Amino acid sequence: MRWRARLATAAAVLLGLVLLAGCWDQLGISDRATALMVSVAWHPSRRSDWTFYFPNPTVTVNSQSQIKSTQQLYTVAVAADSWASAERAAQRLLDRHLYLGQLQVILWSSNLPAQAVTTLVDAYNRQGITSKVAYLGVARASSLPDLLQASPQEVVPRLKWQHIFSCGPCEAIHLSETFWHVWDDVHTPGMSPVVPYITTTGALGHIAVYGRQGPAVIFTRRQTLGWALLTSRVTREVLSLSRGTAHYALTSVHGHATTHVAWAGGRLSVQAHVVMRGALAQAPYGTAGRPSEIRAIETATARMLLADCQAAVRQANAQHVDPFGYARTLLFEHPQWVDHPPGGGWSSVPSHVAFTVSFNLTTPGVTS
Amino acid sequence: MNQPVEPISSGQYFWIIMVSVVAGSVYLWPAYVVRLAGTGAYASLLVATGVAAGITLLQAAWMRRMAYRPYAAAMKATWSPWLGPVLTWVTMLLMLALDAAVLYLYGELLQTFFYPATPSWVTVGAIGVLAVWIAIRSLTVVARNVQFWFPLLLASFVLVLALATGDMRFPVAATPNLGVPMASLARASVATWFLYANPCTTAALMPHVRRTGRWRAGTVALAAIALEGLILFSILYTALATLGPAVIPDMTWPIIYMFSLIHISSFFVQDVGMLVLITWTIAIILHLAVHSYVAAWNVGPPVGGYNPRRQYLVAGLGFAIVAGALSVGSVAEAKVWLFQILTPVDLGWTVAVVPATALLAWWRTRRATAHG
Repeated sequence: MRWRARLATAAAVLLGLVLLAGCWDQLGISDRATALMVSVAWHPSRRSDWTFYFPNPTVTVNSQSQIKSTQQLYTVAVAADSWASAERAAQRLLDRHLYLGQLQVILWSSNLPAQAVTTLVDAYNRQGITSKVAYLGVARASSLPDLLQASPQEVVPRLKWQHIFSCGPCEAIHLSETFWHVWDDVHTPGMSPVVPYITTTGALGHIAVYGRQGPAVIFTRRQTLGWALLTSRVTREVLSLSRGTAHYALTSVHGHATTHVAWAGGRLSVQAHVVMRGALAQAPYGTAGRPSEIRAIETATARMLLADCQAAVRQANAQHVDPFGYARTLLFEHPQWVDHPPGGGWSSVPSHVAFTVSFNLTTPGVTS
Repeated sequence: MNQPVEPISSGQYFWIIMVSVVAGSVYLWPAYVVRLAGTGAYASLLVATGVAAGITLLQAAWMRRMAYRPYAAAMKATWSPWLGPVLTWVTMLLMLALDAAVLYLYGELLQTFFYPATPSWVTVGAIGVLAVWIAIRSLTVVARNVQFWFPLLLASFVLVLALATGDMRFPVAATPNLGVPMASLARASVATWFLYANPCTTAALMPHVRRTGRWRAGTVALAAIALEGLILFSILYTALATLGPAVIPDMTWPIIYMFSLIHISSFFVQDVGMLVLITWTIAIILHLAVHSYVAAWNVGPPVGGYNPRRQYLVAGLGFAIVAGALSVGSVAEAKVWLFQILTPVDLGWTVAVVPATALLAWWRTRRATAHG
C-alpha cells in the first residue's frame, strides 16, 4: 500500500509542476503575432485609425540582404473607438494570436484630446501582460504612416524609434518618456503629462504637454529647451551665440536645476537655480583664452538660457499647464493639500518662477 | 505510532519564522495602506511590526513558563483541557481563511501578469498540491526545505528590489508624512497586520528548537520579525519613490507592477519577470506549507515524528485553503474579506488571546509556586 500512496503523491506533484507552467498559455512563436508598434490617429467625427506594426516573419539573418527595409514590417490597420475594440478588430485580421507584451513604441496623433489620452493609457495599463516600458510619442496624424516606416538603419525586431528613444547619447535633451511615466503623470495631481513630439521631418526636439482638456500644447524648440533646463534634462546640447560680429558654438551643454516650491500669495512661488556648464567649441581665433572674454560668453549664454526658461514658463502659464511638476512637488511635500488645495484647484494657478541661471565655460582644444 | 521529534536548529527556526510571515502575501502590499494613510504608512508599518514583535515576545515568555511543552499541551495546561483546543482551533481557522484569500489573490496575480489564458484554479490547485506535499513530511524535512529555498528567494528578491531602485523618480514623494490623522493610521496599521499573522508558529515550534545554539529561540524569532519589517520598509520606500502616493492606492499589485518596469539592457537577460515568478511562487508554496504544517501540529494528534493521521490532517487543511481560495468570487471581494473582515478579526483575536494566555500561564505558575 505504501508504494501506491507514494506513487499517487508523486503523480499529483508531477501534475502540479506541469500545471504550474500554465499550459493554456503555451503558444509556439510562429502562432504569435508580436506587435512592435501601435499608432493611433484620432478623428473628431469618426472612429480612430489604429495601426499595429509587426515584424515580417521572413526576415532572418540569411534573408536580411534580400529584403528591402520597406518590407521588414507589415501592418494591420483597423478603425475602432477603444483600445479593446482595436485589439479585437486587429485580431480578426490576423491568423495568429495578437501579443502586446513586446510592444516597443506607441505613437498617437497630436489632435488626440487630453481626456482621450487618459482613457487610452488607462485601458492599456489595465492589462497585465502589455509592456509598460514602451516609449510614447506624438506626431501629426498625417505624418504617422511615414514616420513609422522601417528604417534601413535598423533591422527588425529592432525599430528606429525604439532605438532613438532608448539611445542616451543620441539625445541632446532627454525627451523620451516610457509609457508608465506618462500613465503615472496622468494620475498624479499637480503634473501635466509630457510626451515627446516628432516633427513632420521625423525630428525630435519638441514636447507635447497635456492639460485637463483639449489637444496637446506643443512647445516650440526654445520653450522645450527652457523646460528641459528647468527639469534637468539637458544632457549634451549644442548652443550658438553671437556677440557683435563674433560667433561662438558651445558643446556638451549640460547641468541641473535645483528648485524650491512654496505656496505664497495665492499662487505657486518657485525659486529655480539652474547651473549649466559647457565647452567652447568655436570662437574667433585667439580670443578664447582671455578670462574677460570667457566671462562675457558665460554671461551672454546664461542670459540666453534665462530667456528660454522664461519663454517656457510663460507658455505653461498661458496654457494653464504644469509640465515642470512644480505643483506635484508641493503636493508631495504637503499631501493634505491634495484633497484640500489652498485656493481652489491647481490647473488655473499660474506659477511665479524666479530664476537664476549660471553658466560655466570650459575651453578645451588645442588652440585658444 | 509516535516517534520523538528531531529538533531543528535555531537557524532553521529563523527561516521558518521568516517564511511564515510576510513572504506569502507581500505582493498585495502596500496599496491598501497607502490608500488609508498615504505617506504616513511608515507609521502603520512600525505599529504592525511592533505588535508582531510584542506578540512574539509574549509567546516566547509563555513557552518558557510552560517549560517548552508542545503547543497543544501548553494550551490545555494554560486554559483547560477543552477550552485550550477550542481557542487553538479558532486561531487556526482564522489563519486558513486568511491564507485562502491570499492564495486566491495570488492565483489572480499569476493570471493577470503571466498566464492570461490559464484558469486560475489550475495554478491555485497546483500550489496547494505542492504545499501539501512539503507539509506532510517531518519537521526536519520542512525545515530543511525552508532553510535551502528561503535564503535564495530572499537574495533574488533583494536583487530585484535593488534593480527596481533604478526606476525611482521622486524621492520627495517617499518622505514620511507625520500629519496623518490617528484614525487613518490605526486603520492602516490594522490592514498591515495580515502580513504578520501566522498560526502561532513562533510558539508551536519553539519547543522543538535545539537549545544548544548561541541565541535563544525568542531572540531568533524577534530577529526574523525585525528583518521582515526592514524588508517591508524598503518595499514601501521604493514603491512610493517610484510610483508616488497618488497611483499606488488604485493598483491591485503595485510591487509586481513596479518589478515589471525593470528593463535590463543586456544580451541574455532583459526582464526579471521569470525571476519574480519563480521566487514568489516558491515563497507562497513554502508559506502555505509551513502554515498547514503548524496548524495540523497544533490541532492534530499528539506530536510525533511520523504519524499518518497528521499527514491526512495536513492534506485536509491544505486542501481546505485551496477550496476556500476557489470559492472566492472576485478580486474586489477577496480584498474586502482580507483587509476589512479577516485581518481586523485576526488581529483582535491575537491581541486578546496571546496576552491573555501569557498572563494566565504566569498567574497559574505563580499560584502553583505560592502553594508549593
